[in-house]
Formats: sequence, C-alpha cells, structure tokens
Amino acid sequence: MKIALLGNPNTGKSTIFNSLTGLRQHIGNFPGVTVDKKEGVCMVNQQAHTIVDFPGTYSVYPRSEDEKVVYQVLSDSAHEDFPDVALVVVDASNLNRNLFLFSQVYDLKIPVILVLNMSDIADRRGIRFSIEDLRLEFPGIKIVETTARVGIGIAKLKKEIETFVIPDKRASFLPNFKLFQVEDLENQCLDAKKRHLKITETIKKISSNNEDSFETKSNKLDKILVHPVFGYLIFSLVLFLLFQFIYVFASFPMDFIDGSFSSLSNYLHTIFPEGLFSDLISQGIVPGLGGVLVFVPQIALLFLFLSLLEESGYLARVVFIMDRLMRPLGLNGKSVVPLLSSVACAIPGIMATRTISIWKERLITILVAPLMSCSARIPVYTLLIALVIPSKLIFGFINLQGLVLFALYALGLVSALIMAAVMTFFIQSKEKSFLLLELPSYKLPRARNIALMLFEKTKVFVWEAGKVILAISVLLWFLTAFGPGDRMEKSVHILKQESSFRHLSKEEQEEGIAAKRLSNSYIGMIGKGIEPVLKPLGFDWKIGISLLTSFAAREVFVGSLATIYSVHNEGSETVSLIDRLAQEKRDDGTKLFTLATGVSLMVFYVYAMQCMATLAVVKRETKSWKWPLFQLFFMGIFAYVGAWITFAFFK
Amino acid sequence: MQIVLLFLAIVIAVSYLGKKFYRRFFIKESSCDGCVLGKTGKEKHKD
Repeated sequence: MKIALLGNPNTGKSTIFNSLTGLRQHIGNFPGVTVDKKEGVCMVNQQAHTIVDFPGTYSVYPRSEDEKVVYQVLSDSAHEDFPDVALVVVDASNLNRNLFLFSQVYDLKIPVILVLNMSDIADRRGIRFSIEDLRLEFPGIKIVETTARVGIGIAKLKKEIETFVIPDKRASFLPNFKLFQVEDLENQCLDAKKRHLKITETIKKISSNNEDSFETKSNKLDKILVHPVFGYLIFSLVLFLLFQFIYVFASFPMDFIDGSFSSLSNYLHTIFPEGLFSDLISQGIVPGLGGVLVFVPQIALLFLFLSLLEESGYLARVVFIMDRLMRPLGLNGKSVVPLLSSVACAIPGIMATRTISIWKERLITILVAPLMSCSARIPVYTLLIALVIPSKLIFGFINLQGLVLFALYALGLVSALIMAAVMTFFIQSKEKSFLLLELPSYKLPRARNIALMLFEKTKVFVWEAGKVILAISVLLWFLTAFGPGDRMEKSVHILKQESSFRHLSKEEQEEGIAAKRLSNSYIGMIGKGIEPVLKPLGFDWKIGISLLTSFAAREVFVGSLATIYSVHNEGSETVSLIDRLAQEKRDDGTKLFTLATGVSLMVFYVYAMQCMATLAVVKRETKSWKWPLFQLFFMGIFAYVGAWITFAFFK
Repeated sequence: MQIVLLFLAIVIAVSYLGKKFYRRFFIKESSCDGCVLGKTGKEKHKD
C-alpha cells in the first residue's frame, strides 16, 4: 500500500514518519523543516507499506516550491506517488486551521486516516471535542489520536493501517468539489471561503468547550520573547551565552583529543618500520585527521544548543522577531529559517529556501545563506582564535575568545543582511512574499530526540568530513614529501655548504633542512607560485596551500595546516598544532601568526565561499551554473578585500 | 611493499575525491557533509 503523510507545517508529520519507518528524518519544532518528499517503508504485521512524507502545506494549492509537490501528486491519479491512503496529520489543539487541508484531501475522495496529533497539548489547553461527532461530519474515515513525540498512539495507528479497507463510496464535505488549476485563484478563493465557513460550523458542533479565553503558558512567554525590544535583547543574550558555553565546556575534551592524537602520531612513528607508507600515516593522515577531530566537541556543543533551541520552539520565535528586522532590508521572515539553518550547514539552509514563493527573494536568500557561519568554520575560527587571541576574562566573567567567536558569527549575519539589502536594490521584484507563521507551543526538549539528533549530526560531520580530509591529507603528504627530480636534495646540499649553517645548533640545522625540503617540494612550488597574491593579506605560502585545499570544505584548512607542518618535523610529533603554528616564522624571522594575520584569516573565512558541496546545491537549486559561479566570485572578492583591509588595519 | 601501499593510498584518495566531485556537480542527488538531511541511507531522496 502507498501511504501519503500530509498535513499543515509543524504538526509532527516527520515524527510520525520516523516512528512508522524507523528512519531518522530531521524533525524540528518550527515550520518548514521538510522541504522535499521523503520515502520510507513501514512494516506492519510483516507487510511492507511505502510511506511518503510530504512537506507541510495549508492547502492542496501550492504557494511555494516545496508545496508544489503535494499538488503534483494529488492532482494526478496516475502519478507514481499517488497514494492508496492518505494519513492526514492535524494538530489537535488547532483543528480550525488544520481541517482545511484535511477536508480538501477528503473531497478528493482519497481514502484517509485522520491523525489527531499533539493531543497532549490539546488536553493541557482544555480543548475538548467529540471524536464520534467528528467522524459523523466526515463519514468513512478512521481517526487515531496520537502524541507522536512520546510515541503514544503509534501502535494504534499501525493497527489502523493494517486493518484499513478502502471504502467503495464516500460522501463529500463540500458538494461538487473539483481541483482547480494552480492559477485559478478566483475559484480557489470561493472554495476557501465556503470551506472555512463549514469548518467553523463543524468545530462548533463537535466542541464541548471554548478555549479562546484560555491564556496558555506559551502566550505568556511570547509576550516577552517576541517583544519588539526584549525579544532582540534576549536573542542576542542567548547567542552570546551559546558561544561562551561552547568555549567553557569544550576545552577539556579538546585537550584530551589533541593530546591523544599527538601521542598516537608519536607512537606510530616508533612502532612502524621506517618507510614511506609509515611516514604517510604518522606525518600525513594522523595529524591531518587529528587537526580537525579535535574540534568535534565544539561542533557537537553547537549542534546541541541549536537542537535545544529548535526543539523547545524558541527558534520559531526568532523567525518571528527577525521578520520585523528583515522587512526594511527587502526580505522577510521566510528567509530567516534558511539563514538560521545555515548556522549548522548551508546546504539544508539553501534547500529550505524552497518555502519562499517569490523567486527573486529565494535567489537572494540562496546567495547570502553561505555568509552565515556554518559549523565547518568552527575548526578554522577556533584554531585562529587560540593562536592570536589571549585566553582571558573581561570583567571577570566574559571569556574573550568566546566573545571573538560570537563577533565572527555576528559579522557573518550582519554581512548577509547588508548584502541581501544591496542585492534587493539591484534585483528588483514587483511581488513580495509574506510570512505566515504559526508559533508552535513551547515544549520541553526530549532528551532522546536531542541525543539522536546530536549523534547523527556529529557522526555525519566526522564521517563525511573525515573521508575528505583523509583523502586530501594523503595527497598533501605526497606533494609535501616529494619534489621534482632531485631538487629537494640539491637545495639541502647547497644549504649544508653555507658557512652560516655550520654555526647553527643541531636543532636549528634540522629545522633549516626541513624548511628547505618543504619549500622545494611540489607543494612548496605551488605555494610559492600563489604567495605574491596572498602576501597583501599577510598570508604565507603554507597558508595559501591550506586555503586552496579548503575549497573542498572549510574544515580541510586545519587538517592541511596540520599535515604541512608535520611533514619533515620528525622530532616534534608531540607538539600540538597550535604550539607549532605559534612558533612559525616568516622568511625575515618575524612571527607569522600575529594578531593582524590571524584576524585577516578569520575575516577571509567569514566571507569566502569555500565549500564544494554548497556550490553543488546552489547549482541544483538554481538549475544553472551562473549563480554558483557568481556566488564564488563575489564572496571571493569580499573575502580578499576584507582580509586585505583587516591586515592593513591591524598591522 | 611500503611503496605499493603508498601508491594504493594515493590512487584511492584521488579516485575518492574525483568521484565526490563528479557526484556533487554532475549527478542530481547531492548530500551534505555537515547535516543529517537524507543521510540515513535507507530512505530514497527524490526531487
């Protein structure tokens, strides 16, 4: 049996989908989390049923890209996803609005099971209605009450699926219903008016109380959290605390991982027989992976805090208050969900722009979304902050390094808003989309959901990013360990002939040889080739190479630095990457990672479009090469100019 | 032996990066490195 999961946004469709299929589709307590249909298999009594989870919509008539898929499927009975049964999930605490879509599906004569989800919230709000009376209003349907987030009612729902019999004939909610064309707004409007009137009558008939006078705890909280002044102050405070906590709580596990990788590299170097492959592992792969994995605790903490904010329902309030802020800039709250999603990763953020119905607004949001600092930037920011920003407390309680991390995120957000405003000026649109947002009830985050989300996201980060870093570390090591012909050996030989070399200590001689070999390797030659372009920004050729490799993904930057600095430094495996970078000097003997270089690099990473996966998704979503290339180009120019100005200022 | 292993490692690394690049830009389905969208492996992701 083919089952479609339909319903308004944020009614818990994906939670039900996960419960029925055992999958882990992303869920969140705000509308627009699902922007594409997802398919899974539900096993009921050894029978497999295909379940398709559709994006949330208020009506079968689409208003945005993500909603189109529902219309496409339901309007065409020959469509491969046309359902045998529709599970229409409604928020039991908000029947008035939710029954609209349900009644349309009912009138399409699709066999339907009505899932009254969030019945716990309806109970808490004192909303009472008769399910028997509701069944009389919609003859031929099955009704199941659920509280999906805690698994209540799922077994009963499975039982209903198992015993479901497709009825031969069925009544209509509105007589003579017919599905109109998407463009036929006039008839859609007439139908909507009639439908709303009849739904209001229905609700009156089935309700046994009136909850209108009942002021919920959510409403009371909203008076403060979406307040025109306090709302912004509280949001700023939440973000500020988030970055402070990230720094405070991540330091212990980070030190542990850092130490473990240094010891592992050292240990492998001692136990492996001497040879090229042993060097590849101990000097290329282990330092490369360790350089990035050390930042996993911070990334996990960021995911944890974002999940808590999302699951509690606070993120939906942020969307609401940001709408007010964004309207003067030519965008609206519909762009906020993509931008906020981009804090974790720009890819779901860009996919979330499908909820924006006006193409130009959607395009602008796609173009600025990668400016929001994603989790992949955390390793880069943290490394640079540790190198050039002292670890001290301001006013006795504000961690300076955490404050700088907060400032970098704020810079990304402000830049995204300014660029959106500028682009709105150039990319004119006669239409304006509007934000229609139902504020979900506040919910106590469930530990299981949070733990699962955290585990999945961290696992994917480590596994997906880890594979790319591993592959790049192998290549980088090769290019660093070898040079054309006997160029490396010759340069070392010439160095040894110099009279000044003989006066150096043994340790200085080893360092000199290592530097000579590195600068005459393949990577050294490529790096020296691009160094003149990067010199105005304060970067040397080794940073340049790491910038190049991080076009694959930003976090590769740290792994690349770790690999480049570890090769030819056989005697110093136990030194951490940060200590090694802190000792790094320019050719003229001055320190490389000064405040100017560090901040310049941070600014570069705020703006640079260094993510192959994001470019690919932009190409897919815009169906053109033009926009990803434009994005790569304009963000690259901003990164270069921004880093140049920053370096000149701090120098 | 070590040279053979090194050669294999480099071939695997180059093939992996090449495949990744090709799939990202020239195949419709695209997954993300830092998020869980479409990452469970059991589900079908459709446009």
